[in-house]
Amino acid sequence: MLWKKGVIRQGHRVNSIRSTTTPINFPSGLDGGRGVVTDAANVNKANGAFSSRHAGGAVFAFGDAHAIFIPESIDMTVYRQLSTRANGDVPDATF
Amino acid sequence: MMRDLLQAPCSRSLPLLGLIASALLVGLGCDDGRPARVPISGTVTIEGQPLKFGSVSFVPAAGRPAGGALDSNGRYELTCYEKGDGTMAGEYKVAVTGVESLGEHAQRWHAPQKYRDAQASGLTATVEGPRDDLNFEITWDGAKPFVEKF
Repeated sequence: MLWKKGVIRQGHRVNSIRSTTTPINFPSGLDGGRGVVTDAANVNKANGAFSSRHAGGAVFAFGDAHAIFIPESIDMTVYRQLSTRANGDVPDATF
Repeated sequence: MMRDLLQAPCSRSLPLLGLIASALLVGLGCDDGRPARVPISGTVTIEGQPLKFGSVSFVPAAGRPAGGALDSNGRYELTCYEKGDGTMAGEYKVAVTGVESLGEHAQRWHAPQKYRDAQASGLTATVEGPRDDLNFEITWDGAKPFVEKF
């Protein structure tokens, strides 16, 4: 899975690409502990966290057109399962 | 009719608002409305030498992890919600991802890849209070730094 890589390569789109590698609303410019989403020169240190200005989480729109508020305290296993269908992952916890 | 149309979405969203409100109330214990954290930092060494590249991740059994980058002295400082705030008291499995970027198509591993998986690293930590010496000593176990291309 994507988040298992230490570094995610994505050209110059450091401000647009996001992944569930790093927790919601993780401070920008800091490494969340699993490497950074970076440009080739490794300058911007973008960590790729989904973020918002909502206190305590972010509103996510899903592919089936529903949108929910996910708290930044969400368990990371559940959070990552929400972003993939690999292994038949079905999030089994509430958040 | 128009009034009904306008009001319907609002009434449907009320339970959701309740959910959000309770989610925000759970875990109060700090001024910022988030769980209390304690500052945590330390050094990672490999074969006795500072691990100068990569990052450290503290993964709890459930909930939000904390992490931090390694500097040129092999030191890390955990961030959970705000820069340098540390992490919550508790038990953690710890991952160390010792990679150095070599551009778009390669990275050098300065530590064995197994340490990047908190479940497989064998590294653990117990956080009870502030620490600046929560150190980890890892080894190559006969292997050597290598370059991974992609």
